[in-house]
Amino acid sequence: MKTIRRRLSKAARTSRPNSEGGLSELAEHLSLQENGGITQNAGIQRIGFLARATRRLSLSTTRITEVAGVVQEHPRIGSDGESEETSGASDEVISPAVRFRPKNHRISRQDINKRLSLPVDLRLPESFVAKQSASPNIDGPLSRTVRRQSLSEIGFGKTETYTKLDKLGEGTYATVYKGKSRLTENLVALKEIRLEHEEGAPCTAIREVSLLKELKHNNIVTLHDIVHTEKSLTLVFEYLEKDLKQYMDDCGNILSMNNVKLFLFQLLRGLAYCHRRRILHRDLKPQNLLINDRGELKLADFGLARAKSVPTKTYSNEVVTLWYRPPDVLLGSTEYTTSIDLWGVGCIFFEMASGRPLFPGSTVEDELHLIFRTLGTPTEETWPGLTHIEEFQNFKFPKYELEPLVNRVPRLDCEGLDLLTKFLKYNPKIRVSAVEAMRHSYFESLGPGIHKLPNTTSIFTLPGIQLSRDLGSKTVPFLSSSRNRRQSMLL
Amino acid sequence: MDVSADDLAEAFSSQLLPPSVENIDAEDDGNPQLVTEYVNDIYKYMRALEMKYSIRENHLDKQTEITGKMRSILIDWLVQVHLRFHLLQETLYLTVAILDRYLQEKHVQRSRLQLVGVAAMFIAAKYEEMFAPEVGDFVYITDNAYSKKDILRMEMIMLDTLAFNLGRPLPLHFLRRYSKAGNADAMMHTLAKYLMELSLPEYNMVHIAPSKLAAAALCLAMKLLDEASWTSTLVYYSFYEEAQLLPVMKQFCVLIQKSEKAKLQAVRMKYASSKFMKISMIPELKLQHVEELSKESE
Repeated sequence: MKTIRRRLSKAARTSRPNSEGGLSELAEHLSLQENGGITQNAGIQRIGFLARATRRLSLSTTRITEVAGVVQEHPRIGSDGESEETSGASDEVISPAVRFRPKNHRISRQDINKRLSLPVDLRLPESFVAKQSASPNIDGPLSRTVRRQSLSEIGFGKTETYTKLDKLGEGTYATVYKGKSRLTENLVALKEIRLEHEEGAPCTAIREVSLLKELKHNNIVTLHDIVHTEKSLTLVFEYLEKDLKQYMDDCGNILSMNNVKLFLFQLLRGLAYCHRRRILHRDLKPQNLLINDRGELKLADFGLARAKSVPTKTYSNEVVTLWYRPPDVLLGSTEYTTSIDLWGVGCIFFEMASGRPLFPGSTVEDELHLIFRTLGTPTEETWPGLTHIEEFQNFKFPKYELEPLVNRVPRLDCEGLDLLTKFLKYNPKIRVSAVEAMRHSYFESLGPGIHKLPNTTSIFTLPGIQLSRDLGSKTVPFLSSSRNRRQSMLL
Repeated sequence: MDVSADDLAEAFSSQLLPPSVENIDAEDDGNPQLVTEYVNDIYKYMRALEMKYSIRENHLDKQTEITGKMRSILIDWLVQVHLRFHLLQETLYLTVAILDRYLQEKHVQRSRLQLVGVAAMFIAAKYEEMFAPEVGDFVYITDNAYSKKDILRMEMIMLDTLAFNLGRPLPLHFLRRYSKAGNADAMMHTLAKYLMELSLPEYNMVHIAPSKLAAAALCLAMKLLDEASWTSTLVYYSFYEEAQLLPVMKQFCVLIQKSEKAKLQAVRMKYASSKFMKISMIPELKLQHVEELSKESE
């Protein structure tokens, strides 16, 4: 066996032709011999060494003796050659030995729910409850292995646990369905990401899942489950009736000013939480803000979000939807940070209060034009460093004067206007942060308790905080769904 | 728990700094790149995350076909692949983090270790890079040892095993903060980076928390280059006293000493280039100090 392996690896080494174009001449083969030494058939030179990385690591003959000494059978090797788990100590495996069920220890569903930290409304399958009750090993801490196994037995991570209902929309790489969980009978949103893609899991999906798993907040959409199959990756989200775009449409674009304040505060609250965890959303727009019948607003669609350490590195400037994109990014800046999200907040705030999008540009130039016509063409004074931005010089914008915003949002009070201008600062360095904005006097009427809520608690648990009836709504909110399909959670 | 974390963050505000500690963010209030408002919250949170996604000592002890030595060979090679693909530094550290967290959980056949390595880099690049290499590039770089399908399949298995949790903070994130707190110059910062990277293939250093690895690397770099001390400002922002860092610093010294004659040279050669200030070749690494420190650990 040993010799065959060695011969194979030798054969592979000699038979590789240098015909794959210029790159393969860099190929170099390295193998670790039984004595632990390294042989290389290309000489090492300081500079060339690092350029030659193409290599098949031949570990096949390494330390045969050592391994042979501890021949172990792996009883649980799956079809893909991976065993189930190696870290799990053997005592975690539930012993199959028959034992009498302890008399005074009937396990209730609640016990199991609690033990697995599952929501109380979850309906456990009969077979699972029976098995848990029969298990002699019910006390003591739960290992990760056992928990994962239990969750899978309950139905988490399985396609059949979720029933697809209507299609809510379709994007370039994902389709979103309204669905129902068989575990809770609750509605869910199923974001199905196709994996037949040449390059495997899309980076947006990897980032979205990885980031959302870190975020547990009342104003951020909850990711309940992930169903990963050969063909698709389905993210199971809590279901919210509407997005902000639809909500505004449904009330004829005349929101109650109380609701504008409550939505804005919740948007800032969710965003501040993200920013404190070094996560930028980068794609805020009304379609990505979901609203349920209680009036809870939640940030969704983290497909373009990024985790960043401090200081940040540069990202692609093709991120934020044009209408909500800050001028610094429109002018090609890739050096942005939390301030990128706050410009969008300002635009959304305006749109809620006025019923119209603030800067509905169709191209980058058009977008900048609209911004400058309203806020005045920036100068070196209002935006230090501006004159060094080549793109700005190239566009040759006329010099517009600042138009008082109050003319365009007559319903917004003084405090609201003051806050709005703080979001819409050209200079990202003086744009207000989410945390600062939450402390602005505009929100004083909500009371001090609003700053002391635990992360996962809704603002509507506070006395006096409640949704008003929107002036323009013709129907009772949430009973009739808008004709427009929800556009959120798509890319 | 969330409430107490917030309270802690509050207590971290600059007004409550001890007298001997410098507020290192004082001058950055106008610089959004450095997000002074959130920076201490963020580091607090990253310390919690590194605990959550930790790697235990001897994390390969349940493996039957893979040794620490094989892991070293793999990582030495991944360092070269990373350089060849011109990827961000974060991607290299994340690759190794993904690799080790996977090896800690799952049994891997020897013949598939390299596959796990490239799949880890494939995932890390998608997470970190603006333009990640394509799966075909990874097939090529392994000299066709694995097919595209092999790599895509392994990607799925690894993502599932790690439950998509890729947020383990990297030593680099911490080093940047400490270098600022220590007023480290480019040379010190680069030397610390070299030390951290030199430790990547070392099996007996895998379990060291990223924040501690970074602190020890910077502490040693400051000592070797400037005989500078670990100030109270550094203690405050890193939460590590010099004495706590000493064992790791000794391990670094042993590494430096054996690096010249070691069989795996990728990191040392990489840092011998002028892009990295030829830091692996500086005479300070041959000082008596390194020898003394390394001897103590035996």
